[in-house]
Amino acid sequence: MTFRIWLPFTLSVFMMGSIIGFYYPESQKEVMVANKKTQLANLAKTVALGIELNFTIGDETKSLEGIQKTLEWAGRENDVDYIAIETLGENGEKEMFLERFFSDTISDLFENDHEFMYSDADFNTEIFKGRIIVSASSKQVKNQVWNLNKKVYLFLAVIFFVISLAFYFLARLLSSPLKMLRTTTNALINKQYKTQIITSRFSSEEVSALASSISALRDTLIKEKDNNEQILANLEQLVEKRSHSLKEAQQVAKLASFEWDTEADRVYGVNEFFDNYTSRKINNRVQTGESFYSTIHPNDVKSVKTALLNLLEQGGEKVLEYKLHTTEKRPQFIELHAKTKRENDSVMMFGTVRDKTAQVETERLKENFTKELEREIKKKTEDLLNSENELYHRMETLNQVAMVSEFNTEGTITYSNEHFCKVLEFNESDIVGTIFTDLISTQQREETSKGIWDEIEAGNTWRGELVAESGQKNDVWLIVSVVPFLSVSGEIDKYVVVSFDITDEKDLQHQLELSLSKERELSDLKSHFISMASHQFRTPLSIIQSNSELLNMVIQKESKSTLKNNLLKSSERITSEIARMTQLMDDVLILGKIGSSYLQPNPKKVDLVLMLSDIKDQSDIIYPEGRCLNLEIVGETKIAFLDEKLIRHVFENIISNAFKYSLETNPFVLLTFKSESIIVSVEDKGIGIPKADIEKLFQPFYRADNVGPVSGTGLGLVIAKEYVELNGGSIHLSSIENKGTKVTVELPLNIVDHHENTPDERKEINFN
Amino acid sequence: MVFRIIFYLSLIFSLLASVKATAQELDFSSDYQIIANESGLTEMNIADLRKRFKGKYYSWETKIDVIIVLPSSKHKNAEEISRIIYDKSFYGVKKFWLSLVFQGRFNAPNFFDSDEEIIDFISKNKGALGFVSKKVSVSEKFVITLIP
Repeated sequence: MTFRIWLPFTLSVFMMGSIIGFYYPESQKEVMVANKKTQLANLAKTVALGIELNFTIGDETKSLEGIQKTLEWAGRENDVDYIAIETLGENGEKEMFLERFFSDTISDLFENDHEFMYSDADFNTEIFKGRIIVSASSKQVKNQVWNLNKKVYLFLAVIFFVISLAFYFLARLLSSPLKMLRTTTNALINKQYKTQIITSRFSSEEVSALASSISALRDTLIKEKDNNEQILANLEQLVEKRSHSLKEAQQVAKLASFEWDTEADRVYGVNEFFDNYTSRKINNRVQTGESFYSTIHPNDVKSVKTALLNLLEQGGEKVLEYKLHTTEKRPQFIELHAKTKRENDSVMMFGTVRDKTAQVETERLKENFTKELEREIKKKTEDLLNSENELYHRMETLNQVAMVSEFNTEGTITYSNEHFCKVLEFNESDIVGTIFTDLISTQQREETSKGIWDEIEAGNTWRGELVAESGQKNDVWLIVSVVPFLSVSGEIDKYVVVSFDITDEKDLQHQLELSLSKERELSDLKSHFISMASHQFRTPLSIIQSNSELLNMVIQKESKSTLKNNLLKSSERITSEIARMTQLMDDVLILGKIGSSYLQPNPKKVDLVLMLSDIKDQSDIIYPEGRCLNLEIVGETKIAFLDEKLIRHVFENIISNAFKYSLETNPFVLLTFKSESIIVSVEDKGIGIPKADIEKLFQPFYRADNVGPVSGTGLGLVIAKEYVELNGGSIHLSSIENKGTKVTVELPLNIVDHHENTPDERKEINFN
Repeated sequence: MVFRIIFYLSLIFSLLASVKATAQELDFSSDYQIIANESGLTEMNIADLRKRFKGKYYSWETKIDVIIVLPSSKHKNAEEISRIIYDKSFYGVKKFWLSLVFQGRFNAPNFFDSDEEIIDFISKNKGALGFVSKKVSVSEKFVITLIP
């Protein structure tokens, strides 16, 4: 009886335990396999990213250390069995295949075709591309599940044993009253009422015992429930630990994960990166589809929505790139990797989100830089072409007018332009290879060659004129510049010669020199003639004057007064005309000397105050009573350095004119000393000069129309002007007819620059 | 007899050629110097140097771990040193070290932008091995003489 009660209960509990023991680990395994796959995918992406960083950004230490630590962490914490890297060359050919095993038994597992989970990720650097393959044996997951549930199984077995035992005692307790009940029932059937009464009396105690047993059973079941809850809590803790590891992996890769339940329209962010990449904090990281779309920049929303809808319809995987909708100025770029999974009728979408801003910015920077570089290169190329074009035109122009040639440091001509060959009438083949200095005429060659080489070997430019030997015709005069050209190392590489043909100019110069020489000869001849003529005129004039004086003496003895007076008048006229003739001869002689350039000033220290005072004294004596020269001196008196004889002649002439042409008033002389010059003005209030005559007064033999009977040669002012200019000064005349004339002479304090002085004479210029 | 003369002549020529090759390899020693901290070595030949830079030895004779120090891409002599030691371009060296690090065969080397940074790192880290220009002054105790 006891066995019959115990067996069904025990079998039921055993079956329930078996069902739980079989299905629960399977569901656990499924979750862990899914986690493992995500973990492997993230790991592959992390390593790929590390490699990209290593070969893109250039911080070699950190990126290699990152790869190393990631791999160590992967082997240690993530139960990864195998990682491989496969690199591809530029043409996609397999270049390198590296493997890393984290398990000693991996090769055995491979050989036995054991079930593996794997994931891969591509990487692409500037140099090479390839992919990372990460793999783990599913046996590990099974082992993990077994290890995880081992204690649970043991515990369940113990529980089962205890429950069986409990059921046994319960069955035993129950079987006793039931046995009694059956006996009583049989007795009743058999009409044994006594037994029934006994049985009913016994039954109340037995029922009480049965209630106690049931209570004990309930307590046992509650305890079992608590134990099961504890097991569940342990499992949850384990899952959380695994999730934490996954989260760490995602943190390394800065990856956000999400799950999208399309049926419920809920987007679940698995970690906080998802919040960062969606720019918002939402409780439990749950969003609706629309709220997720609102995190996307309005320009990208449509394309992302379309792509995700297509993905949901067609299934598979998709990588999207979009911009976040943020208030920040700096745009944030996101890469979304999504995959769909169908479960019954519902479609789930899983994926990762990665901040791609740095990569996009780097690419844009690179693109902008490339564009800028291309623009700059284009501009520089255009500039270069323009410069080349300009240089070409300049060279063409230069080649048209200039003779250009080059010779090396040995003096051998290496290049000559067409104009060079044309002028010298050589073929280029004849000139190239000859020594440059051999083209110089034999008369100049030795001396000029030495001069040229001395100058250009010192790095200087030689400029000069030389006569070149022409191939066919007469020698050619050239004006030549020889310029040394330096190499990059700073040494003279070659010499460039730029020459111009000046033969025609030289011929013209020669002709001019001949003409000048002839003119000088003629001038000398004229001066000689004037000098001779003056001298020849003087002799008869002296004879006439002496005879006139003898005649005058005879006339004085004449008694007849009428005849005497007439003769005296004639004698005075003769004397006057002789004087005028003598003056004219003197003036002509002076003018001749000036014209022949024989006359050279002889400067000495001159005290103009003294000179003009002397002239004043003489004038006061010479001219009739009542007439005198007014002299005024202004400024600090200085000693001038002038030809005293010539300057005295000038002032005597000007003052004499002032007396001659102003009979009623006295001339006024103003002597003004300035810092570097002396100004002497002679002013009279006489007849003046007509305006039309003023400019002509400095022409030889010209006299104003209003001079009347006043005698003169018309040469005085001409000579005065020449004398003043010979002393480095200037003369100026201003006059108003019938009001007076003012002649102004400006003289330098020294005239060193205007005539040749000996060094000793120059020293005398300093009067301090 | 003739065969023997030819044999000896060939032997002499091959010996001379090997001496010449060694001399060429040592040419760079006029420009660069090897430095290491507490390596326990004062001299080293070129073959040994290359082996150590290629991660063939994990530790020095002093039982201190070898730390490889290399010029980074910003270092002015990166390309030249890569050619001398690895007979590769700088990117080739990076690939080489990627493969070593990936396979877990050696710790990641330390890359620096200048000789001064390399010297500073080596002077502060026991077992560090590097390669710098001779123009830079280095304490004698770190310098390892290159021998044929």
